[in-house]
Amino acid sequence: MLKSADGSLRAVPFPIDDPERIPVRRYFDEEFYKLELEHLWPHVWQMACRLEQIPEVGDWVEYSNAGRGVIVVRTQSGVKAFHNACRHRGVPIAGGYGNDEGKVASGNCAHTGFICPFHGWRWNIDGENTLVYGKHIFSQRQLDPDDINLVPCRVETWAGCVWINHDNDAPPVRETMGPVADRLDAHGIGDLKMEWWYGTVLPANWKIAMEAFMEGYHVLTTHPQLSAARRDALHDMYEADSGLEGGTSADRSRKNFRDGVTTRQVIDAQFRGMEQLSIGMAGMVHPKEIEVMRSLLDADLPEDPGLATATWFGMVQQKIVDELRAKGEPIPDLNKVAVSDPVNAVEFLFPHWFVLPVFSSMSSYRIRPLGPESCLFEIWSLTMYPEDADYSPPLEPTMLPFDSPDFPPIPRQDYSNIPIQQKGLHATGFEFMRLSTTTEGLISNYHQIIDGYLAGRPQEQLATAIHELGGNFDGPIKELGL
Amino acid sequence: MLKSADGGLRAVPFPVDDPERIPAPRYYDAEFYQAELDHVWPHAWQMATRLDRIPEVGDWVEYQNVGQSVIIVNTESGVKAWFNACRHRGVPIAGGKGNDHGNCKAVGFVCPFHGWRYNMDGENTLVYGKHLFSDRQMNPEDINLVPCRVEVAIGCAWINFDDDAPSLRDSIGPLLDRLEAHNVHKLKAEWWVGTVLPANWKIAMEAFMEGYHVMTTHPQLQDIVPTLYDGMYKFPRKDQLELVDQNKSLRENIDDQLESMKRLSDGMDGMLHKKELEIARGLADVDNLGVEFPEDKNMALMMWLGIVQDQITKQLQARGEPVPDLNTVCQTDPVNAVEFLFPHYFLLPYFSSFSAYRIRPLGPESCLFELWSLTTYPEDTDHEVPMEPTMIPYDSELFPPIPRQDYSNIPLNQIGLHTKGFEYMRLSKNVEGLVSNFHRLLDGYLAGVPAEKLAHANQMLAGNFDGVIKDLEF
Repeated sequence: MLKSADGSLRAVPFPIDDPERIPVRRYFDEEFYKLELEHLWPHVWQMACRLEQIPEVGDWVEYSNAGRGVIVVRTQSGVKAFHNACRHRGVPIAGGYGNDEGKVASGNCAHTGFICPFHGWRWNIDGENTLVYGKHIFSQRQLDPDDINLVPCRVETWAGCVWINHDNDAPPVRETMGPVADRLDAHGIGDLKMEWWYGTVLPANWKIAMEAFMEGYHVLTTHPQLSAARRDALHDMYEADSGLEGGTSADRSRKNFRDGVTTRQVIDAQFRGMEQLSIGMAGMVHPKEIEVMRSLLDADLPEDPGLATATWFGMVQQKIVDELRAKGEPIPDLNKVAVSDPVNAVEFLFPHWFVLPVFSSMSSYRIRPLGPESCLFEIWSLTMYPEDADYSPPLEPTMLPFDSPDFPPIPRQDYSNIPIQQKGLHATGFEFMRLSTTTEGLISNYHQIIDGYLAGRPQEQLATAIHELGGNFDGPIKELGL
Repeated sequence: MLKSADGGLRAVPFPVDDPERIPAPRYYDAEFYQAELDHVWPHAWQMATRLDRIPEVGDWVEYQNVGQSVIIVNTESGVKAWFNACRHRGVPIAGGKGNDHGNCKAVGFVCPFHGWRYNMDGENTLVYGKHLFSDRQMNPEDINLVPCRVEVAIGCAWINFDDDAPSLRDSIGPLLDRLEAHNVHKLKAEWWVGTVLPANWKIAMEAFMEGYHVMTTHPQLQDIVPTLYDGMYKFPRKDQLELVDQNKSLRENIDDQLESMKRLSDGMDGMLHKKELEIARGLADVDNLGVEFPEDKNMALMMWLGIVQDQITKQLQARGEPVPDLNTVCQTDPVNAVEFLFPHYFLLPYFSSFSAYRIRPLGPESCLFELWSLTTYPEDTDHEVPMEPTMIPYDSELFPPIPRQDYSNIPLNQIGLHTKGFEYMRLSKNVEGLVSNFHRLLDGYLAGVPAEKLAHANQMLAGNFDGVIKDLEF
């Protein structure tokens, strides 16, 4: 059961000994969950909030995860974060309600600072204590100024988000995420803003909930409408007899199409596929982008379906850039960045944040554990707004039951599998998940990185392994050097 | 992490080495919690029941805490207690769910499993099919119920699993006599509510061990008489507390006092009873009381409060209520606004009525918190006391405003304790001493300090509400 200790490394329960097999107890065992709380979460970069939540000096929000609360606040000298406990008897100085119901405590402290609700001690925006009520009733040594200021938490900003880390020795967030951070920057990720924000509590381990979004292999069965839209013109890329394996990429591109289909049929199938994606995920392909595509359905295109598809998507991207820039949206040159800085349909930012880029808008997910078999799952639609437009962000997620018809169809389809999968894991004889080496590699790779944290591997080594997760969606199991 | 063992003492996890600093893991660590279960609860006097629930011979109630169940029964020869397990195969002979009650005078106790029977004195009266058992299994003394140590004081039955512990009176000390001078033993429960708080049992109690939190947690109490609270906390304390606002007339100061009493009465629903508030209000018109008040407003207000106490005494006594002479007992037997009776019972006296709290752990981060309103009733009237607490959620609107304000902090406090960088509570040596003294007494139990020394330290907690850190002398 335990990995033999190697050097100074800790033993890991239910370790990934075979990269193609994930021991099932990692998804419900109490001890494993406790080790995650102790050795994973306090050492990783967590997406604490979006910057749109704290536009003004003094704006603060609470971020709470794995039993620990942090106050994130915008100050004159940038974004700061403080561990949320009064230095007197430990009551949270603001908020403190945890995250079970998706509630996000927020406010502005520019004028009043923070006031502990128990005995009224006060702090300013920079975490400095400004009042101890009845100072004379304490020993001097209890009121050492440095010791009664709020305890700072490490904080950085990137990709339109505030990131916190409880570990002062971890490499910076961009260095941890690696080159995918630069590629996402090239796509203007830092200029996106929240269009909407939903949350739900899923009766499943946080990892099970995430792993439904780490491969496209489930699309045929879980999201049949996406496959159906393309079925007449295109082969299924996961079918064993599709003939898509082997040969050059040009060969594969040609084999992609069913025999005898015309350019019009292919473009029509691609458009209907995108339309289903837009309906299904709302923000991932934005309706304003669908309208651009619709306007180009009759464009002149080459007869060869492969060449036509590439040409058409190039035209679509160019027109999206032209039209949205004309409205004042800060869109990058999509055709250029698609070549210079390719990103995948899903990018996973270890340990708990996702972005799903297609054109200029993105969907985004964040997942937090609420217990070994419960998690909070949030979804955002992120898009660009004209730079001079009035914009007011949602302040907290609209919480819905996971089976609510108010969720867009695609996440609802995923959510219908996740809770029953958690139950299936407990079935007698189900000892491990059996992964594809070529398309479910991301699941194996991030589990191996979790083991690296649990075992206590050096932070630099873990960051190098995390770099391998960039573009690894739908990809192979890798050698991570752990 | 561990206290070094000192002459036969056990090591204590997360000990209070600095009396002004309480290590945070004491409120959530599983090992610390287990040490409390092993070394504190089985040796301390626990408030098992109010006696007004078992007025008649044969009346019994069940008390449960930390996995142990005891039956307390009123008998011809006084209150007795029995460990609640059949001497055959261990099924509880009555109740077993925590709060059961009944009368066993006619039927005794009948085990629900195989029908063995016991009388109210714990003697086995029937073994069904006795011939089925070996003789040595039926030794009469061995099949009687196992007695639990029990004592009665201040209107309650107290149990202790430790036959070697000093008596209840030696443990709590003269405070019991002072409380009985206030006729606490003659109070009856007016109402009884309970709630489950998502917090360690000690966190829940410590919100009631000082008045320093009043300004922020109960601003409605501070606002009406700021001079009083400022004099206690904001500024260094003087020998004589300033009760009045010198810029106001005596009448205005008395109106503020009455409003303060009203807020306390509404806020606690019982600590300062409505009938007492009514009597005080009847004395608001100071110019027509026929009394010459001194020039000094502070002295005048003290004198007015004396008149209020005198009238409460006389008017309630006239109704047949067993109220002591309040002006006498507050001189001869002073009690504090909050009295903590280690390890888990509180009394909050004001005039003649009291509030009471009892707290029991349900796990390292969960506890059961009960509240009573206790008051006097005319001795010839039938008052039906509540037999079980009305359980309500801790954030329920049904709680009076003051406990609801406290309950809003307590679960947050438990969350904040886990925060990175929060290693210990930072206590005031002057007004949060009871928190420290209580914790260090716990450490005495955990370490196995001799029982006499623990009892001596326990007595120091009397009147220690809002008080100083003390040398517990062990």
